[in-house]
Amino acid sequence: MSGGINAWNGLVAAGAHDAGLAYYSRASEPVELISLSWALEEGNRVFYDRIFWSAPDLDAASIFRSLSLAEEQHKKSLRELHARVSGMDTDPPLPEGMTSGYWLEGGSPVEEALERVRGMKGNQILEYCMAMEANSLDRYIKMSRSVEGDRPRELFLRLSGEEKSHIARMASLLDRWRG
Amino acid sequence: MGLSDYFKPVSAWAAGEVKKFLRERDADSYNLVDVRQPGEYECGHLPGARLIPLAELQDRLRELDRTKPTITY
Repeated sequence: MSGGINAWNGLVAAGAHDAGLAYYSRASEPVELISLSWALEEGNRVFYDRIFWSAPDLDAASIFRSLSLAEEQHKKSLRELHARVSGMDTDPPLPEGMTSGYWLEGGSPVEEALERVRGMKGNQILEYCMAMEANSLDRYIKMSRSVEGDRPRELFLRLSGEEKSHIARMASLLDRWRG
Repeated sequence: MGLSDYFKPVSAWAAGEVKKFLRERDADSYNLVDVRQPGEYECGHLPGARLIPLAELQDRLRELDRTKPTITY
């Protein structure tokens, strides 16, 4: 439901954002899926790096920093997989349309997302990040189902599990804040 | 391939559409899922909504009837 419980209650959620787009590509070529994932992980990393500086408290700052590091680790895993399946020890080529700037799930520019979270309260920022991670989780699950090859499938499944743990960690902080 | 080849729009209903849908349907003809945290659910939720926090959703999908439409918020 667009706008969530706030909309049901007749309220307009401040800074509410419905991502509105989900991953659906039917591509199954490993290199193409690795490239898209790598570009989105890089976008996530930049996003978390930037919001780290506006984190509402130390716990949130700590989560944003560790998420940024986790995305860097995901990029490393994807780079290694790319080298293995393509034989080229380079960063994966960026997909068409994503060669300049940084991008998040749904194909939205990082700058737009940063603008969107500006002025949000801490809990709203966390909810926004949880929605982002949920989209990553969804994408990796879909990719693991469609990709050719055991190794890419295993990596996508592992990354989906890590995205899920990110959501759980932010949910836990959200609960702590609400007491 | 361009960006639009990787992503597609996800349909979302406005609150008014959801109210109309719930009013016109029997409660056992759909899945209504609250994906917020338990504390938020306790403070108030849509009538008949089942609580499945986002972090648990993937592991608890079997609780939902796949043959019925699902509304989440």
